[in-house]
Amino acid sequence: MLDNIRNIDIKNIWRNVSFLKWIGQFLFLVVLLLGFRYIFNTGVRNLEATNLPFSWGWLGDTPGVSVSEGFAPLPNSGRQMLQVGMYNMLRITLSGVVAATFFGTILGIARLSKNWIVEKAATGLLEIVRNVPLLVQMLFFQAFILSYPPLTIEDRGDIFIHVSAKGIAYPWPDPGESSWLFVSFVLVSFFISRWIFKWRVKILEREGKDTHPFIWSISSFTLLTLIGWNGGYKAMGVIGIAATYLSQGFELVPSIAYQIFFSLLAIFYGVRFIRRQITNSNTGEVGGILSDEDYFRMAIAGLLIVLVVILMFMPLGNKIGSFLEGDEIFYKADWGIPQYFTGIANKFDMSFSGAPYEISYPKIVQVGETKFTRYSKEQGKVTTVGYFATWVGVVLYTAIFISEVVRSGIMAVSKGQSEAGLSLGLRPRALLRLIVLPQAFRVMLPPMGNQYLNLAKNTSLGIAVAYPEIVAVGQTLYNQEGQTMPVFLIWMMFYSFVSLSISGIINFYNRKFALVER
Amino acid sequence: MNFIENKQLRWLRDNLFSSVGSAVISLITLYMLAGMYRGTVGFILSPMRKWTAVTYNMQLYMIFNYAEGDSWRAWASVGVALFLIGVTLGYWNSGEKSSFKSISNGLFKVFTTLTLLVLIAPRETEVMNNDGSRSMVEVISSSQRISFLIPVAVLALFSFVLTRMNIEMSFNRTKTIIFYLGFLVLSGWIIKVPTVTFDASGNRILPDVYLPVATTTTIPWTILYGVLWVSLFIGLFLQKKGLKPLKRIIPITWVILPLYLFSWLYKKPLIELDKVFTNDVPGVLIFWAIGFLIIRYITNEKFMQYRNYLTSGFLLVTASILFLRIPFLFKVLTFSVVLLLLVAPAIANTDEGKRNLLLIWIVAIAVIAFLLRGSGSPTGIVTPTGSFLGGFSLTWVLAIFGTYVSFPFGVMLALGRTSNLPLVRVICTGIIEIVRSVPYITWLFFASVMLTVFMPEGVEFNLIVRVLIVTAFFSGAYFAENIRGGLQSIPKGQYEAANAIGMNPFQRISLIVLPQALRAIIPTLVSSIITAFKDSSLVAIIGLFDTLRIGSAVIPTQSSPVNFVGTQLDNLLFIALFYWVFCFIFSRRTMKIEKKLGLGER
Repeated sequence: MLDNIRNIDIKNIWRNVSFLKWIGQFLFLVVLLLGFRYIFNTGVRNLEATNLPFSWGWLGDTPGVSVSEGFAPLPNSGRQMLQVGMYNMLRITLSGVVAATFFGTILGIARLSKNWIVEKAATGLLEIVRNVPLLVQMLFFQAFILSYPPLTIEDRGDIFIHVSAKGIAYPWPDPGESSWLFVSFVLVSFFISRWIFKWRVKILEREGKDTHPFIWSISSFTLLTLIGWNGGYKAMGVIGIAATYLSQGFELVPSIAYQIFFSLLAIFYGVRFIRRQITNSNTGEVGGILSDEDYFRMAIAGLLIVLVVILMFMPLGNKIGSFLEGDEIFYKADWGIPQYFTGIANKFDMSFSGAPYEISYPKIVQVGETKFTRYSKEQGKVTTVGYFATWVGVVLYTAIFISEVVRSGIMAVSKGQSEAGLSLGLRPRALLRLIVLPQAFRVMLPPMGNQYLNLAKNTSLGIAVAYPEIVAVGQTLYNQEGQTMPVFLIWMMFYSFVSLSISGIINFYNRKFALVER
Repeated sequence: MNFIENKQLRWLRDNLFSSVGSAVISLITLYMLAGMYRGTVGFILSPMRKWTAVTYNMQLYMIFNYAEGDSWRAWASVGVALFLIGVTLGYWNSGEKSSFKSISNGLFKVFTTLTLLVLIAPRETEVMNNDGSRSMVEVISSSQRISFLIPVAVLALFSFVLTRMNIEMSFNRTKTIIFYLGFLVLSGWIIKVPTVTFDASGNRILPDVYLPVATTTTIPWTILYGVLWVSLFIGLFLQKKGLKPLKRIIPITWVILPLYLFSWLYKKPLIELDKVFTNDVPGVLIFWAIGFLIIRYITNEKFMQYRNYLTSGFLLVTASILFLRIPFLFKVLTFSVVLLLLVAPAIANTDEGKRNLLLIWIVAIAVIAFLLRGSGSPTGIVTPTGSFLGGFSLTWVLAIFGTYVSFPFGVMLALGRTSNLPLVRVICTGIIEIVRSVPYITWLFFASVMLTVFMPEGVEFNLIVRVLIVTAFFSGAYFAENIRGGLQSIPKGQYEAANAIGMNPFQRISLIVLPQALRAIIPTLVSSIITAFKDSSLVAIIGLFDTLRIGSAVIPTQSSPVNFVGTQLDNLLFIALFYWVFCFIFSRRTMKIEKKLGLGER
């Protein structure tokens, strides 16, 4: 039966559904492409009429405007200015995700609390925050900080914590030259104490007596950190030595080796994908028949392989390339691998000494000889008005939605599970930690990822409160250079990259924690 | 703990003080809540707030720079909407009753809470002086507190007495709610707001004159409240009469109402009569005739043979005249003939069906021509900025029309994404994913600075229209994802059953699949609409004068005739309240409907 439908009848080809479908789709594609071409041509013509044809040249030009926040206050090129914007956006996204998850989880558990007043308070907060636009909230927080008195000349001098219309200043640990060594040392000691925890638990399970795994791991972690702080971090200099050798080694590899390596990698993965498609259809229910869709997927995979190989060996033009990787494009680039290892070696020098971190206190200083004052940029930490408004707004808003996710996730765990846990004699807290949350986590993960994506996108509202993230910076740039189209393309690429990364990470964990079905 | 026999005390023990830890947490939360309440009240009553910034600029908030002589049109729009609300509430009245007991219990709860709130309200609040130092200022004097406390406490006692009485009475729930609204209207006569007034030489009269809210509007709320009652009784009357067609007419009216309000009542179109006679009347007559012929002969076997060719022919005509310079009316009507040809065989197979379809066709064509004439004519409202939309009216137009344009687009994208044609699916998926990966604000920038680049020469759209175009894509992509969820929830048997009785794909999707899919996702759709309503505030960033921009940028820079510089906090608080009220009511209503329909339950 299936074969009859699939075999194309040569005599009555216009009566074959499969053939007609493909013709229809082909026509659809042609119409779409024609429409796209029309729009594209109109765009090119209109841009030429405005004397501002599409170009990437402005990426190298000095924009001549300052950015109020970030690693380069006066960027020397459009490229660097965009990088500052991306850095600011990622900074707020990363800290926001952590904070929103923390507050959201607490709120979600509070909403399920048996305590009436706690539950009502959490629900009230949810109803207030959820029903007011984020932009209004952010502007409100901005206006709130701005209603504090401005800094005056009398305020000069050292301070501890200070709030004014210029922002919030507070003490902050200042990293010394050995901070990288110390951080990696703490990471290593974390893994060691985790291993100790597992080891003690194993003994506990085998011998049935209390081995205090938690106390053991905590004390070993504290001890190791103390050792690390007082000079033990020098042990991590090993990384620096290894990086030096690696850097020298990679310098010897000719650039053609990278091209061949990446091409082979693409071919390997592409061919593996196609082969899997074929074997899957052979073993599956369909019994060896490949559908249109399978052919389509395989064609796309093949096309991608060809594209990657071509990209590796062909010049693309210098303009995009110079943005991505110095002045040279892929066909000559060594991908910066030796330089990367040199950079690591410089951060992990064994000869570094001194305390890894020192607390520095904020200070209010005079601007030149004028009567204006500002917070010192070198001392302490200053949260600007824009950062504060964006961060608080985004975190509060996302935390509310995460609390809903947490609540529904916990409610999705069947009641029998908690009852079984209780009948085993688990205390409520242990029940939540060991039985309910791990199962709820599985349900919560995909919607949680959606909320993280929303958070990343909502940071773009920082433009309304003068926080220089990628959208605000891009707008400044196109007002300066008149190149709206390239800036929009960069926005699109950047946000797509961030979204794909977040959903990639979530998908990874989703697969890792997925229920293994029988 | 046997001595706790009292119901209330037991409730307290079970819910607040079940254990030591719980008691501590309760007390801490209570303390924090009380502190927040006192802080908020102090913040609102603080002498640093200038609430005249809101009350004086209410007209600016509502209609921006709409011609003052025509401001009755805005009120009339509200009145028409209220009328339809009343009729709907009456016609769909479930007859649900609330008993005297539950009403008096509710009143008792409200008034005891109010008494408590008045009791713990702060006496004084902290203000910041110009030099940065802080000092305390009295906001509620003892005499004020007592004058608030006495009526509230008396009412609380009164309602307590009511709860103890055994009266077997019950009232219609809808009527009770509208009756309660009456108190809100009544409070308009009691609560006075500061109004800024000027004497003959243009000097401001200080202190500000306090007038009742009810007297400050063009059409008083009292009259609108009367309209609500009248329409409710009309609705109840219609329900009693049992007019069945109203069941379909009322929802359709809800869809058409915003279009009518926008294109005729609020816009005040200047109608050119010669165009009506050369364009509209012939167009309507021609298409009435075409529709009549189609419905008359649709069951004819000879005609049936050529129906498919006729449909594709009209579709081709629609596509080819899309870019010709002919009146928009003809393009729309040609397309509706295509829809008629697709729908007619399913409905017009009996004499009654034919009659009904013809009636629908006649009315629909007339309504389309009427609305298009209104929206196509130039507006008679003269404003300095050239746009007669601003403030609340712009927010509403963006929210409602944004939904109108994005919903059909979302349905199309969702159908494309779930289609079994690989190319169509890939393209639709691509559009949805690309649109969704970028934040709304960047699309708004696209609308404000880039969309004009892609327009052919001579075609220019107003910024509001460009925003709507972008919203169609953006909200459409989000709608599409929701609708896709609904489409996937439909069992395969439904498709197969539709195929088995010989439906064509259009009929299968419009009559079988979509109605079920949309019903399943009403809650998510409504939350998407609420999101779209909230997101409409983003247009403030690209320079449209919506509610938010007026409150955050226009009023705080006013220095004459009255100085409102630095009133961001006051205005933003008011805007937050505005958005909150609508979003909250909307989401609560939907939850009720959701429960009624039994959605989300298996």
